[in-house]
Amino acid sequence: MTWDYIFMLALGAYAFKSGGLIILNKFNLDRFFQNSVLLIPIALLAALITEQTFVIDQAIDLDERVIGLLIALVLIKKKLPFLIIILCPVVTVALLRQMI
Amino acid sequence: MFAFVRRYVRDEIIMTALILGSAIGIFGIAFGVLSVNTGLTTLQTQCMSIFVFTGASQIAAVSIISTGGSQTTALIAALILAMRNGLYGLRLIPIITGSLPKRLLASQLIIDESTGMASAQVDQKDSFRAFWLGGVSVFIFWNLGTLLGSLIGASVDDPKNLGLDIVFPVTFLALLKPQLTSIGRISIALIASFIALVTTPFLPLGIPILLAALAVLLPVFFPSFKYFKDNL
Repeated sequence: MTWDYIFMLALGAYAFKSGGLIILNKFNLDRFFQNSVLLIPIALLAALITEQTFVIDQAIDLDERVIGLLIALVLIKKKLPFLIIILCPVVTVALLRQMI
Repeated sequence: MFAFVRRYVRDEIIMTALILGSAIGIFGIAFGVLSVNTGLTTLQTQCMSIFVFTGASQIAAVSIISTGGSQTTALIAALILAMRNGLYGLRLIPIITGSLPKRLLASQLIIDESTGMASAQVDQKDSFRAFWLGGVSVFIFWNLGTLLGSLIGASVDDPKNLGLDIVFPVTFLALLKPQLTSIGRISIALIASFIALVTTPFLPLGIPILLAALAVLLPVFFPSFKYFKDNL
């Protein structure tokens, strides 16, 4: 990648980030849309979890990651410390990959 | 000294920021290695991590070039992936307040992790703190990882062998859970997941996530559905 493309990518990425936070801040959104905006992270986190757990190279693929996520779900429900919530699925997934 | 350490370990926001940061640092190493092996210099690689600072876009851009794609294809693919940060910016308007320079600086830190951490907090002050701690931690670790990887340049163990890729969906799940406070919100999360899952095989990387965001408009279109009515 050459410098001009790196520059364009940096500029574009920053335009999106600041565009949402700073430029659109100037407009007063309709109350209904304001409510919707507050829900954006819910939709995007759910979509990211789905892609990162059930998809590989743009194809649906159910593997050890699903087991890792289910373990996490149980630990989250039990309100255990965050370090444990993370470590148990990581170790499980790593071990399952070693075995396969 | 131990009381000091204990206080930090008990602080969920700091712990989340540190754990997420460390995992991202390791992927940063992998990115640095890939980038210099693709022909970028250490300086170019580092400038990307500082000024582009959105991991999925950077990895996509470099991967496309490493497999023989053109620079234009790489740029477009990376920009599509970066678009969702604009949506995050909208959500963060009530959280990131302050002077314009402060907000311009905060803009650079708007990514999945910082927004996820901010939106998971109930209290406005905690949201502000979670955004900055999450953003700064990821920024530092991602850049340190990038530097290390681009300097080593040789192949390192794939972080996936260590199961580290699962850190992200698990963290996002932990951040999503406290936000699922009503049936309306749960339906939005499920519909968003569904949109992402069914469109992923057909659409370019990044677009399914943007389409999934449309799920937040459901209460606008179906205001009479009883679970979308109040206190969503």
